[in-house]
Amino acid sequence: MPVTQIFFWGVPVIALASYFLLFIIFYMVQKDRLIKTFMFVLTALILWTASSLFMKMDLYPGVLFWNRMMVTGMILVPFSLYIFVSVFVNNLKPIRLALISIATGFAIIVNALGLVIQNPGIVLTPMVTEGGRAFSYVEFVYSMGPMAYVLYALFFFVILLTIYKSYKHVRSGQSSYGQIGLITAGLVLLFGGSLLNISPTIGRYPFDVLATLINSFLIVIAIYKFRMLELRFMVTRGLIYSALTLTVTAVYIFAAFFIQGFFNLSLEGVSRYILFLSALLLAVAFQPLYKVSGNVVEKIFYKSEYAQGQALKNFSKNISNNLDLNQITGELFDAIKMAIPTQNVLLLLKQDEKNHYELYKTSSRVFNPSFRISKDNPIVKWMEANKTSLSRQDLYSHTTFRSMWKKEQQEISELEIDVIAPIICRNELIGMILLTKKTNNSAYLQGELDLLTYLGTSSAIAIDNARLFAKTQEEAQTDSLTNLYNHRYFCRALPEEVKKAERGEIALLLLDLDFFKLYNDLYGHVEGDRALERVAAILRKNVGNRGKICRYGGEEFVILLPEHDARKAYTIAECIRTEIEYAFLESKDVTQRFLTVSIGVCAYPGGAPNSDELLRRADLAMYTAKSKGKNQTIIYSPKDPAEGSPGSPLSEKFIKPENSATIYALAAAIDAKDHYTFGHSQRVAEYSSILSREMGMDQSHQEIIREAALLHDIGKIGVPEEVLNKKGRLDDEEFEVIKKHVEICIEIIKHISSQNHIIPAVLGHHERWDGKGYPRGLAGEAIPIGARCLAVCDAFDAMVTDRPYSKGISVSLALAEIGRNIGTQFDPQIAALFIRLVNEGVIDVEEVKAKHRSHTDPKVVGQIPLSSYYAM
Amino acid sequence: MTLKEKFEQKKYDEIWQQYCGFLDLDLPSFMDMQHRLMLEQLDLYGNCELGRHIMKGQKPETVEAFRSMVPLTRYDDYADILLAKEEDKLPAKPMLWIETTWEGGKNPIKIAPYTERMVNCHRDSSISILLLATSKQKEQFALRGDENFLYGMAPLPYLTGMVPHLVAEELPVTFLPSIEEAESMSFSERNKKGFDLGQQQGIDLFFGLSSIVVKIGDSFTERDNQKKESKNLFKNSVQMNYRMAKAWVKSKEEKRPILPKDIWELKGLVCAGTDSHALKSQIEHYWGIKPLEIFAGTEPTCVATESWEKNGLVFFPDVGLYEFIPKDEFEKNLVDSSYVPRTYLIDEIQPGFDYELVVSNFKGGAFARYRTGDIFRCTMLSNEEAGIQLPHFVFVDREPGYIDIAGFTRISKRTIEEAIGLSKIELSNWFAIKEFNINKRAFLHMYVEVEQDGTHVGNSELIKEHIATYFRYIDKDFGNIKRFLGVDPMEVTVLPSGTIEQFTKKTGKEVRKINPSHFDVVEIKKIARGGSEVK
Repeated sequence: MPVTQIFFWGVPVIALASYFLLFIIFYMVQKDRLIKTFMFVLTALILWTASSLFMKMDLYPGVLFWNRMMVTGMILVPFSLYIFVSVFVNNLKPIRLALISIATGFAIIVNALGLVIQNPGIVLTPMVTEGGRAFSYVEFVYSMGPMAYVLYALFFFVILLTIYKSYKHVRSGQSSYGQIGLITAGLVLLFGGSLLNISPTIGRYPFDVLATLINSFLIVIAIYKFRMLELRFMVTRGLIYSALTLTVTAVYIFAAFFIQGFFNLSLEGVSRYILFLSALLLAVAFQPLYKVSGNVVEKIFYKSEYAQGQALKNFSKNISNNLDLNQITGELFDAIKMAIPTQNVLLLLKQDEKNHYELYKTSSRVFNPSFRISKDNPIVKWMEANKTSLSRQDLYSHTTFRSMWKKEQQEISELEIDVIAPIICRNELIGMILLTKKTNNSAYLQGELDLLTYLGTSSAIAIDNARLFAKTQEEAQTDSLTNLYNHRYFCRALPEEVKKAERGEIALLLLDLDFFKLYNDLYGHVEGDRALERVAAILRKNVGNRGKICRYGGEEFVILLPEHDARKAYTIAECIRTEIEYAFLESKDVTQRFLTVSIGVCAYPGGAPNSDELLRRADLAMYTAKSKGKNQTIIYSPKDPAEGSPGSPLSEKFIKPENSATIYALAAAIDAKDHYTFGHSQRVAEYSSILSREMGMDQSHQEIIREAALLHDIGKIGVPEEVLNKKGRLDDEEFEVIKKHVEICIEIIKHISSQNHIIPAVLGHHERWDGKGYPRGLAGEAIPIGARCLAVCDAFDAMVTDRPYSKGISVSLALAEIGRNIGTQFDPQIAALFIRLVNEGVIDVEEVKAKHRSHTDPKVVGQIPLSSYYAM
Repeated sequence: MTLKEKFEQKKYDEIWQQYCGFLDLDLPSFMDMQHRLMLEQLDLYGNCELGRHIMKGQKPETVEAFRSMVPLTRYDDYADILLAKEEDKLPAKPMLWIETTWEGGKNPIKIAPYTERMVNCHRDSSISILLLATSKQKEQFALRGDENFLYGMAPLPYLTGMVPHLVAEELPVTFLPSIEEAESMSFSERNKKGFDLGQQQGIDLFFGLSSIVVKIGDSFTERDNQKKESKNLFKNSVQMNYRMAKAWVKSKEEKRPILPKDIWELKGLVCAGTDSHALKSQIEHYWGIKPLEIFAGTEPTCVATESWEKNGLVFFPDVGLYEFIPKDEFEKNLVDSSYVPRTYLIDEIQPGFDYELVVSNFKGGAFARYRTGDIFRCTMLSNEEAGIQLPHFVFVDREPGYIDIAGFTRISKRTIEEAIGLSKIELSNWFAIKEFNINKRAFLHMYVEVEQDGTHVGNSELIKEHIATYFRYIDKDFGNIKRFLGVDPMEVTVLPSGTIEQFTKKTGKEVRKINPSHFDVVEIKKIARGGSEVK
């Protein structure tokens, strides 16, 4: 058969099969206005194509009838397309539609009257010889009627009007060319194909039918592409494949005819073998075609379903028994990306200790990592109540979201979040999955939203378990006070990190807080813990993500700094040291200003050959810093004299004086300076010893109080002599200077580590029972007991001793003064006991005074009240 | 998706949910929304000069702290910043400034800034109102977005003028006359033109002051409308002529004049203004449709609407924080201005009591704990039958210190004193009260005493004429009442000399000059009857 004949028969058959296929599919879906109008288009196309085919086959009732039906179909096609496009662009104008309907009706009547096509007929051409074989072709012949050109004009006018409508819609910005371009292209093709019919020579061939076929396929693609139909939910796979088989068979048959024609073979002449062979070859050739067609069908109708199925299968498998949060969320992201064509995914997880859901992971780095959704955001409430996904449209339309803040709305809008799905575990919203736009910018389908909700729900338990596991793990390796890594973690991490740094560098800082024991003794463990938290915050701030910080124990910290040599590490260490010193210097409580840190630095491989040595040598360097006066950073060096010395008696001896000698020397120093009160410290020590003994304190405690009494005024070394020895009353400024002697005490005593234990008593000897004392304003039993003893003894001795500006008062008067201040200035029990001890002679004042006599200034006479003594 | 698109796609459920879904809220959810939005507002308010000025430099972080720290405010507190339009001192940049008269204020007008979010919120409220006006049951409404809308309210810069612009942005409704044309016309011109067009094209929606809506009905009964309409036959559309004919037949059958309801089948009628509650049944009689009452004010914005049941105002949850001063509290404050009245939130009030509304704007608005001077009565805490779990209110009147006549004018003690002073009529004592005639039309009733020394005029008509003349001079709106509504807004009763003094002696109470209590007036009338006859 010649190619022209194959074309003549093949195109209408394939077109008809395709139209039927589409018609059946659309018949089975849930029909809305758009589908109904498209089915009207298909009906018109079927009428056109089927009539054309039946006419050529000269079926009953005859060529004339089928010709009239074919032309009716041709008239109805542009009309139905006009309606379809109007519905598609949502712009159906009733008056215009009525006019076109009238014109179409008129055209149908005119056609029925035979004024369009005249004398249609099928003729057999004379026998022709092609390739040595004789053929006679079937040809359709006709002549144009008087109204033919009017009808054509109408036909083209309606098509042009439809094209114009599409164009206008795009121009007005109501839809993109991408959305309507395919339909417009199909219409142009139809216009062109039909135009060829004007020439009876070309019109003999079904170019118009071919154009309608392509046009209808373009419409189907447009419909599918923009998700106006949920085809995959409506059509059974069996139906699709049946229809596909029919279509491919039709193509196969005509391909066979084509081959026959191509090889110029007639059925009569061909041998059985050649026929069999060609059929086999075709079958083989069509197998891939069938497969390709099958894939296309899968892609069109089941692509997302298939992808979703795969995604779910993989996801369920991969998250089961997985406790790695990062992996689980990674799987979740993969599943979402596989099943839903979204541009970006964001995962927000609930932060138990915080008041918001924090961004945990994104599929793109472009998102602001500080994006969060607060727990009282209406989105959270909605999710908790409805347990399903939410579209951006809902945010604008649902009443619940009226209470969203402007900035919350702006954030969602700026991130172009289109969908939010909940992750709910045990009725608690533990997280949210957020999707931005789809890759093709179309709207999310309900099925996709349902799937997202499903993925959120299925991952919830895994995510929750992983978080619990991570939390437990973290707790096991975290120091609960500072939230830094603990000793256990460090012991594991150090060799690992050193191993990782085999070809690189790693530095280790070992930090030890100076005077921390003193700090704890002075302010108690609660305050000590606060100081450690403060130090930890400083470490975190300075180290950031450059290294790992661990609390090694007590007041010791270690910092692992991968890719840092000793010099770089030293810089960081110095920043830390300075900031800690500064932070405590800034302290509101002046007495807390002494906490500093000594840091040892060692680096691998330059400073140590392995992890054990790295730690040991950093430790040595830290001890060297301590021995050199604390509050400094020392880089380990083999030449350092501290090598081998920490812990050895040498370094201790270097800084540790002989207790008694030092104390007496210091006491003598202040008494030498304040020579008018020579003996004051010794007398107070005598009184305190007796008092503490009578209070029932043990020997060691008595000794502490005695030593504290000896050094309680050591700070006066730092008070100018003119103030200390001023004759007459002190003014306010001078009084403030005098008050500083307590702070100076700490500055001096803290350097004698063996005497740090006396600082609480020394520091508190000017505190008052009623809280009005200085320097810390402690009250009642919050004042260390040693300090309370000293306060009574100190005041008593000051009153009974002659001073540069006053003569001492009598013992009885002094005791009366103490009695008056019981419960305000003095501890009631201690003061009462002291009075009793003096009155009973257990404390022999005269004897003590004789033993430790002071120098007095004979020129000064008069007495001063207790408040003035108290200041001193 | 725009509202227009939703209408085109017949997504009526979504439209209802978006605009009327707030009626499904329960009281705790309503309060949550109030609290949350107030916290946002506190953040904005604490960071601007106006906020610091009103909150006296404090920065409350909770609604409770805000209510305890910040005093109740009046326009005077804002006047310096707002009248100067000092935008940089406001919580958020205003999109436009809305104006209203300031009765008894130091300036003839008050102005209020509206931020973009407030305007958007007002747009949503306007659409809600139209949906509810055209609704007879939950989730069912007749609005389709292409209606003819007769809009009988004042144009911009008044608050009511914003509605046509906002609705037109969302829906292709046809305003009668067009918005641009309406804005260049006077009130009466606009209404006349609107009705002329309504006769041509039909009217689907009508929004007007209750008093005006009733007046239009009155005018139908008063004139020989049949003759008049026949002249316009050729100007009318076929459909309207058919309607006129049908209306004529119906009126003849029922032996009554043609009423608006015979000509137009409105889909929705929205009314507002003082005395609406008294006029609603008359409106329904004339227009054949239950009107939907709303409440809005320049400072608080549109705060309440009735539901589809049209039996009480429900507050919008996202416009402002509502506080309510009980009647006995605001009356104490009226007597002693130093007394700080207590306020209650909407979940703390009781039905059957009157309250003055206090509003704090959300969304960057300027007013905080602002006393609106509007009195509401809570009629029920919820409407179980309709499934609305929010309190319902009736707008009773302005605060007792003002007499509001039909929403046209607000007369204060100062206005009356000024009119009496200018009239040169020497009254020895007086008080004024708002009363209603048998047709439920409000009027100002002045009770006056004249010295009985033979040198003063004692004729009530003469006194009324004098004082009314100066009222019209001082307050142009007072003059418009008779012109627009055809109602005499004032009446004078001369009391026997010394009646008010006797009352004070008898009860030990001073009579309030404006709106004394009902029972005080009864007592005064008794005294008057017991003495010389009341004229």
